[in-house]
Amino acid sequence: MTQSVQSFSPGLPVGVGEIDRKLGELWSASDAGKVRASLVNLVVYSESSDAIAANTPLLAEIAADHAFRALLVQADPQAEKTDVEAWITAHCHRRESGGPKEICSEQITFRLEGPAAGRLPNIVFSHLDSDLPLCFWWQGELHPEPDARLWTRVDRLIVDSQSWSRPAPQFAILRDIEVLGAGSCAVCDLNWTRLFHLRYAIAQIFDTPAARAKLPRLEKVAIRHLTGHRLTALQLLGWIASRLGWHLEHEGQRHFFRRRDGGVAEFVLREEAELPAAVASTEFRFPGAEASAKRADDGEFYVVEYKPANGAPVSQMLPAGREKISDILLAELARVGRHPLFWPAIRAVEPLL
Amino acid sequence: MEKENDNPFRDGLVNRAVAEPCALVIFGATGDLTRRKLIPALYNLAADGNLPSGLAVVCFARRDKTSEGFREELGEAARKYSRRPVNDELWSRFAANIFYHRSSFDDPAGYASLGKELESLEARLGTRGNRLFYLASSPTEFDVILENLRSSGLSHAQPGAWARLIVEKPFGTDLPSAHRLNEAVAAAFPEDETFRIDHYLGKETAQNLMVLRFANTVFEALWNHRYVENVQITASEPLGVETRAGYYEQSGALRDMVQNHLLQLLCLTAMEPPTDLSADAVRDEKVKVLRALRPLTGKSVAENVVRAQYTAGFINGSDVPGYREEPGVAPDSKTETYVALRLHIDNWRWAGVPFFVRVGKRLPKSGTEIAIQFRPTPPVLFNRESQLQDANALVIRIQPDEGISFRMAAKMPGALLQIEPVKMDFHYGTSFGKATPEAYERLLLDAMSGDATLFARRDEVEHAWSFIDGIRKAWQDGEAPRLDFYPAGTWGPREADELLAQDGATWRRL
Repeated sequence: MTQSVQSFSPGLPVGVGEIDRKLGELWSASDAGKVRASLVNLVVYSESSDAIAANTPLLAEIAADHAFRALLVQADPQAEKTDVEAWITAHCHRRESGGPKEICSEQITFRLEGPAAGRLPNIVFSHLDSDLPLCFWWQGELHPEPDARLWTRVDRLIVDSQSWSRPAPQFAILRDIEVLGAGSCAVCDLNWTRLFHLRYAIAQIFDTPAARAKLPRLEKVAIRHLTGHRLTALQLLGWIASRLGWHLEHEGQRHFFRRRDGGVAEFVLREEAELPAAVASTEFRFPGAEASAKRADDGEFYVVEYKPANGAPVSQMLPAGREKISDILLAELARVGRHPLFWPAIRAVEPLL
Repeated sequence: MEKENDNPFRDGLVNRAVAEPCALVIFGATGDLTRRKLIPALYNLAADGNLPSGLAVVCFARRDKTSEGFREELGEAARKYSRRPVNDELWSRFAANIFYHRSSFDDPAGYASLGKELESLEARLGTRGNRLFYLASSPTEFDVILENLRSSGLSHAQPGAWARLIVEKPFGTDLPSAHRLNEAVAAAFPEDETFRIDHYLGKETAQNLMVLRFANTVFEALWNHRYVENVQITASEPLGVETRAGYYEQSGALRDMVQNHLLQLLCLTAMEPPTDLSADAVRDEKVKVLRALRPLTGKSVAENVVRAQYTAGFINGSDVPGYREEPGVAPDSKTETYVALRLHIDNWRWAGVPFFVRVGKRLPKSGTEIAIQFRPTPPVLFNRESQLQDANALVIRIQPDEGISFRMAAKMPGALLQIEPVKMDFHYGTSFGKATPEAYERLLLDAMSGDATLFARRDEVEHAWSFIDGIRKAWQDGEAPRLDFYPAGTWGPREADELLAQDGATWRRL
């Protein structure tokens, strides 16, 4: 739990060549009740015109739980003139677990215009906190030709496929980047992270031996998702299919999965405009039983249930996690390692992307 | 027995063993431990999604209560002691699976009806025949509970299921009593299904000790007699005996803290790298440390152990009475409220390195830490003037303000060559915003998933008592009769400082 304290130097404009010196001055001028901390270099790159305004408060929120050095880059590669601007600021928070001092994270902000946007690798590598992991959050659509100078040096590339208008080519670029990174760059899709608690809740249903015994004959999966989150729902479906060894087939316009035993598993994705979460419920139908994971009304928990036709239902509440982007990013930053089930899940639903 | 990892959806979600469905039976459930620690810990595990779907909590106690009434009591306790706010709906669902079972501990009929209740819960809640018995009662009741669990057949695991036992400390009061208790445990439960709780081992920093040592190249290379001057393990608290005089008069600091918590910390500090991270591999290495502890008996106790009692003094500027003036304490009590020990571990790694261990009540500050004091550099170059005697120290803070700091020498800026100690400091609270789970959360989860790494094994307990008994015998037999005194609010008796001075060392200032 943290108590936010106002940033003590909001957006001080600085020359790009004097960032380190100005940061040093900032800290030497701060009082002894503040301590700088950093667990990671977090680069946030966006080509949106409001990237700085939108991301600065987001970074302030993240800093409350995960100390970093952030490089926020707003780029406009299409601008006619070349321009580079920079600012420095710090986000300070008092934590209950951190004693009396305020814990501060640095943010260096850049606006790159025109050809200056091509200087991104140099801008990033010049301002890293040495020896700390480099997480690169690329907001929006990826560039078609990945920059090897950049991606071979990044430890973790974070994207959010939910924002992609054409997911299939974007996933292809993402794969190229992973290949470029030769295994050193872990790819993380926040859309996948968004599903973590739901996947955990679903897994809990099938810890029950009776429910697990039904899995090979799962007949139907129905997923209700919020408008704009079809891809999130597809990733969940892809996870279920890949874990159960299903293959996607179609007859005309009708898609279905072929199970390992040769049987058919149907699926339905229902989009709704008002739901408590990106994916609000997942229902499973088996011969003689049903199961479900539904977001509870208060939004804090999933209620999972297994209902055999003849027998008592088994039900449990499990944490749902929060869906604010800052919470999802925090969950991703707190993770160690890769997402080995991500690509199999994507491949399982690739024709539907 | 079906394993949780047969579930294809479990892969890649968490990298730890999953808690298995079970019925948790708490003996002595009306006591403080259940209200303050166990139920809040279980609730927090539920809120984190770490509990299995089939879990029943059966509270076995003598008092006349109903399940409904007891749930309400526990609800109040959870709201008061839980580290996170209680969600009413989650609590209702969790509490619906708590049941009160009224029986005296020595009534076989109470165990027979418990067996029936557990069978019924297995069918209703899917606990799968797994049973986890928690001895949270007074230690004087352990024997009778264990005997009844054995004779009723409840301690025998059903086919495809398990029956486990969690025992709260103290595990006996000396070696013979610990041996008797262990025999009673062994008559009912196999050793690998027995989980002896030392809650210090559930603390994050204690767990981090192995990570610090064996996941970093730099420390382990220096972790031996060639580079370490001495090791100091301190557990200090400003509190006095409070309401525990009855217990404390019988135990004293040596048995209350050193036999269990501090010897566990010493083992984690001094042990060799285990062959793997399995429970037995880790505990094998800890036992080797206890076996290598140079015994303290007879006159060597007088030479290496200081025991003392606090007299009246000041804590945080307020007057506090001396130990002998505390309610419930005998006016001529010889119970030690402070003990300092110089220990030697006679093995290759630690030959000649003293381990100084101290624990005390009514000390100026609360803190538990392990300090590795490194040897000084040779007396040439910067060390010619002997100004860098204690230049390097690595301090692992167990509580509060969990973290690690390293002290080293640095040149002060300026034309003069002036060298000063500086400190690199890592604070868990600063780096990780996430709230640290309570030790009991981790330990309950481990017991439910069958991981005994953070629990004491029988031979650990008995070796520790064997060592402690030697000291107590010398105190009782008059070979080391001296009891020293220190005013409350000071860092212990002068004799404890002299103990270190003999090795040219001083106690660290916390």
